[in-house]
Amino acid sequence: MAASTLYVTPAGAGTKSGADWANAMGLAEFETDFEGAAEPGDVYYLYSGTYTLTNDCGDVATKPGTKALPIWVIGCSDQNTPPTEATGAARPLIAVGSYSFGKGTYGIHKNLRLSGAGNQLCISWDKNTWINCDFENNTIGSSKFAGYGRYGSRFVDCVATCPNGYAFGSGYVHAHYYWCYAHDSTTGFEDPGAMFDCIADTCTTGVLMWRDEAHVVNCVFYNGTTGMTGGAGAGTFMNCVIESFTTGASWSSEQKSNLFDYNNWHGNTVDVSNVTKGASATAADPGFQDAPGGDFRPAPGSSCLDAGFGIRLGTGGSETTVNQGAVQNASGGGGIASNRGVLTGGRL
Amino acid sequence: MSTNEAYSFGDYTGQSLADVPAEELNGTQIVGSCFYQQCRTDASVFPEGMTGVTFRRCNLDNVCIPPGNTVGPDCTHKRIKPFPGTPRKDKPDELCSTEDWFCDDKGNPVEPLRKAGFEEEGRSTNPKDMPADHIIEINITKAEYDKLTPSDWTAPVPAGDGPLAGKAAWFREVPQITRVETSTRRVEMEKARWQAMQAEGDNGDFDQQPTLLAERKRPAGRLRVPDRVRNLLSPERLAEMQREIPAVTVVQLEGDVTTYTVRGKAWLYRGQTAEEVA
Repeated sequence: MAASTLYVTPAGAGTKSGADWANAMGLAEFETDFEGAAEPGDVYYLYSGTYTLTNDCGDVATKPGTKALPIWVIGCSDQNTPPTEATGAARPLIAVGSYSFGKGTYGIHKNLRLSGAGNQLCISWDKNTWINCDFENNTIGSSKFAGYGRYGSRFVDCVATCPNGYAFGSGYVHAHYYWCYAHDSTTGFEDPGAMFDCIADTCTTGVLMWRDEAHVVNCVFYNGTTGMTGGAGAGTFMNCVIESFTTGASWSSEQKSNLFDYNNWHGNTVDVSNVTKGASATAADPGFQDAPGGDFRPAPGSSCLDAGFGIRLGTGGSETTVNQGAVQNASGGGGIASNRGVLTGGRL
Repeated sequence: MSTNEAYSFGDYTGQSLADVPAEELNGTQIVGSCFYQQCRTDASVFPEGMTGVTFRRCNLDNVCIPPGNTVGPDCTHKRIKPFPGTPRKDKPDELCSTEDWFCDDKGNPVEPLRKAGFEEEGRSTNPKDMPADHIIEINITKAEYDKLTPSDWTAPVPAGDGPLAGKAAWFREVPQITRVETSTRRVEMEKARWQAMQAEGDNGDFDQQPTLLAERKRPAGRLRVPDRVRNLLSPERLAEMQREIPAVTVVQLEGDVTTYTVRGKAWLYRGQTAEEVA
């Protein structure tokens, strides 16, 4: 079957076929179609509002997308054709309760908010993508996940919190994180593959790494017990700021295959344990605009300006100057949802 | 029956509506809202005297619905509690994280919510295969361990969702030390901070006072600006970067750090009581 574009509102409308907004699916029709009849390339537009799950909505691999044709779920804020993609509080809220949501394999989910109190909020088994999504897991149980993605799943421009568990986790299997903001959690990020321009703010552990080949570049770890920890090797840790931890980076034993350099270490009781900082590490106050308020952009005169290693390429393919720390959206505070999606770096 | 616009399509997870006047709800239909309460079953969250309410497509898991109200067949209205997970069949000694299980009306586990995940991971979905207790294991330095008293380990894990202080928080018994490993570590820190710790008899993670390997003055200076970067900077930006960073004395310390692996019984959720465990 050819890929379809389908329209969904919380209550549905008309015939509820999903053919257009006047006949939008309700949640029940969406769930039936999403789990049992989705085809590669399908696009589901979810209009603003609250979608309350009464069981898991989605699947691991029953009706997957494909590498060439993923299945899209896109939150939108009006009922035009095509609709305007939603930002901030206008993004649909998936109230998952104790259940989970998502197209588990080759699904791309954009502009959604997921809130609940269970094991994990999202189903994200294999090469899934979440863009401009918020994950808030208020579980009081131990070791749970807010954003959860395995086997090469990606989180882009997302925010997550899980006070009793992992804001972003992968179950010890690499997931990738870009421009993400984890806050007020036991662990900010777990076992990243690539992790660029991310912020872990007030997490007991900023990033936990047991799998080798983690590449953590231009990230900020702020305020907790341990900024970076694990036992992984063959990783890259550059251009980051690690500030206000009991221990900035602590490895179970030194892995000399790791490359640490050009990071800024400031305000930690101990900067490193079983880690070698590198010849170009810096120690000056990073000079954030308002770190306690969640604004980790460098203030004018910040020591991080242009102090990173020029591992990025400019548009012309030449080396360009690079700061330490993360690119953050113009509003400051990666968690300020209303303005997310507008990155100062414009690299999306 | 009119749809209750105020309370339909809302997320009331973990919230109580007990203080809402019953008249705001009585005789209406509430559609598509989530009232889920976690960890404790049969929670009373609706006001006394609520009657004639019909729930449609709502999440009412763990919620007590008073007589005189109707739960539609398209709602979920189940009992869900955390219990230990079951180990993988090929790893019977594996420690398991907590999992949510559907329960019967006596609160006994029936099957895991993540049933498909359990099957995928090779775990039994039969509650008979569940460990008797939730066991956790952590690594903790000897220095941290020595500072903890038995009551630190056995105190109930506090209710609420704020950050927990200390590694002992989730335990409900003094754990057993199952592994001891000592390694030599080298750390560098500002001398002033180290002196302040010493004044309080605090050796950080070290087992005892470490050896002072070196003390050096990190001179006042300016950030290194590679030429290839310098050439790209505006004069103003270069001046910013060239501002002086104050001098500071740092010490390099080396000593043994012993790490314990400890294992013991743990609480299943924040605010759990000993009676609930029993």
